[in-house]
Amino acid sequence: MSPTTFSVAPGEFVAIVGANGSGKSTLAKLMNGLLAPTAGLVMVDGRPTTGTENAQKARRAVGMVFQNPDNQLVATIVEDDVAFGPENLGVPPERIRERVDEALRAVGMYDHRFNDPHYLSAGQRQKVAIAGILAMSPDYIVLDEPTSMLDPAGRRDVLRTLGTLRRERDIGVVLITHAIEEAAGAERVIVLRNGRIIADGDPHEVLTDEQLMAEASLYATKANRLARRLAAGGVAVSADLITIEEVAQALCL
Amino acid sequence: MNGRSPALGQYYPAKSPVHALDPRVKLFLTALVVIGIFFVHDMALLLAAAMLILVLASAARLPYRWLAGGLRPLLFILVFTFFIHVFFTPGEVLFGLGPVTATFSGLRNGIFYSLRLTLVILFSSFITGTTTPVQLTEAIESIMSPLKRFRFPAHEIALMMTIALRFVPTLLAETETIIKAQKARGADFESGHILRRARSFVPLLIPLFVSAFRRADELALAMEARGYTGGEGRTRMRVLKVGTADIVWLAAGVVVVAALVGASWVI
Amino acid sequence: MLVELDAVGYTYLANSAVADNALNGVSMAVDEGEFIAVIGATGSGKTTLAQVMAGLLRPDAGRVLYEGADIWRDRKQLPQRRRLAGLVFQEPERQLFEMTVEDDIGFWPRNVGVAAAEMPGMVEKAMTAVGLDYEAFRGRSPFGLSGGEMRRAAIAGILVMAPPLLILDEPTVALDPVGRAGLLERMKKLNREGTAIMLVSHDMDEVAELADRVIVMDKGRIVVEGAPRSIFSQGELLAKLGLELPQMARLAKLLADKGLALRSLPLTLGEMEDEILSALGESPA
Repeated sequence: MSPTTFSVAPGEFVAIVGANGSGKSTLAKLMNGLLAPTAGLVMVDGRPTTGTENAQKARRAVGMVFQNPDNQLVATIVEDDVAFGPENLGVPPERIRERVDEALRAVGMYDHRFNDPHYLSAGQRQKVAIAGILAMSPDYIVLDEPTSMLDPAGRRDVLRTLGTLRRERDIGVVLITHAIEEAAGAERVIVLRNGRIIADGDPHEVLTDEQLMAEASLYATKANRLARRLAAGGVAVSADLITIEEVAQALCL
Repeated sequence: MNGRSPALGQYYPAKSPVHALDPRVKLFLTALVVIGIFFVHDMALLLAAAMLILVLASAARLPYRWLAGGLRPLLFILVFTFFIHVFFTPGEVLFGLGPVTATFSGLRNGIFYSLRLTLVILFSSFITGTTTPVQLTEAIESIMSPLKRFRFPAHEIALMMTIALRFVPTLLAETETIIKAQKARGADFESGHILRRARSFVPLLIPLFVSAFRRADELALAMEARGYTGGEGRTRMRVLKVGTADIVWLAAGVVVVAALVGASWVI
Repeated sequence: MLVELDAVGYTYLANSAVADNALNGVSMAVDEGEFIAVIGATGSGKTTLAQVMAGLLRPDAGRVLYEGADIWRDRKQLPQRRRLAGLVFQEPERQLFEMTVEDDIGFWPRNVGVAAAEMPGMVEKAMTAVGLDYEAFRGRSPFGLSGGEMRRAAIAGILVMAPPLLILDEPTVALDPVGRAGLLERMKKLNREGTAIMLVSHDMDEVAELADRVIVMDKGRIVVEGAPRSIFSQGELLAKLGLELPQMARLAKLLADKGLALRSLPLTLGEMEDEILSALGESPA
């Protein structure tokens, strides 16, 4: 990655988009101290992430969920896996139980707490992974392409869970994805290309910039492409609509 | 999924006093009983031990048929042991069969030793039938933990066992998929002489290894992200606690085994 | 009739908490040069169907016919017959194992006894079809490629069979937008050049864009089949089966709910544009 500067505020919902190889995963791992920057600083809550103690604190504050639902779970029982994080942090046993139950309820997997993760769907496994992070009481969650290996039902489930978490807990969410439709729902979108940030702003500005998106090897959403075509054809719709719902709304007013 | 756990014997889910016992106590008792049985050389005592199994089975709510089913994979060894003793023990001849002769003492020994082996297998089924693999690894970790003082990686070994258990079904499923995918490309894992067949496994083993290493990599990263730094300073959500029931069973078990062994010395 | 399933049933021994991956009374066919898509929720049996069609799983009931012949009647012919249908598994890059891309793609030819002299030509053709330059990639290790390249190399390993029917099980999962678009283009091209394609997918936009015919599965049975326009007009049925609509169909439904009715269901951007323009009283561009 080349020198990059940006920040994420508490409670924000930021999407980071880019093609494969643009540096998205590297950026993710820098955010919680899994990787140390070779230049510059990564700071979490005002503290740098380098050094063992700082890295630990960073991981407590910034949780991370990865792409492959399978390769994040360590236990044969859902609740045991969710307990893994708090156990690592040295949380007292009774408190762990509370946190685990609460995290599982927050993602809607409490009824599955005794199940073997192998027999859950991929979407359910991702929710268990999210619960495992929630149980660590993070201030931010970074999700590195959490839905790319899921079917549409699983994807909806995970995104809905994220929405609920943001509303109810004020956790900052950084969603790394190459599905532009997912990024359209964010407050802010950052575009990566070859290890550089080439845009950082409102999705309606960033995701509608044709040249920018092409540069980043990304496509605008179908809704946006439609809106632009209609606008060019004389229809009274704005060219910066990015979701199907927005287009429907605009056409029927 | 009902009680099938391919990795560590079969678990039979039920609510029984035996299921609820501390797994460490069960491990200890199983070891004690299995060792004790080998001191028994009197048929009557052996039959008494067999009675014990029936009693235990009902206490543990394990169906007799299920228990008997646990013998099936080892049936060959039992039968083999029986016949070895029947035909190769010197003594009074029962009947001849070509080059070998069966003897009365052979018959008696055959029954005794195969019965003893059967009992060992059945007693072992009690622990795997009433204890989940997770409980067993917790028990092993707990038992090993005093050794941490001597730099013994008790926690790491227990974690390795847990992770291995977790991934066995996943890797098995992947193996199946890779076999099918290579078959779709004309791979033949069945025919040919032994060397050829060994080589035909390369397209199965290499992808499996690559996949396993990739999983390990990703898992390690995820564990680190969840604050894992080794066993130091870790707490556990579930703590094994020995209760009154455990102590009672422990005492009873020790007494019974002592009685069995003692009786064998005397008789 | 290239490949036909006649009342096929299949049951797995193992169960999973997701669904029963069995097939039950499935009858369907793929014609030469067709492009069909199979959709269904996870656990509906799509993957099992693909594997039965490819001759990898033997059905418990019914027949699998390749050009009219029951492939399981004469077992010895089976490996020969398998080249009628090539199956690209999900995440096919998992099957790569050789030291070089060329050797890996050459796995099938070697297995069926293709003459050494013919192999480079076949491998090159397969690599070109997936957009991997022969000279540049043939000697490289498959494990040193990027994710997208690995997937293409794996697909080439099936294309080298030159199968009249190519079955792809979720081929675009985890690919980025450019990778996905590239793969879809290549599938279109293959189909235009005569290869029948059966696409198992949960991406409805792909299906809407590419398929001549869509088969909808649920719990091991075929629920309905037909042209994409007809299938995607049945929004309620699809929702009940846990399936989404392609984006343009979703938009059409939203518009209809708000009172803007379209003449026919658009499946592509262009069609949607025309429909909206005419619905608003403007002439199509």
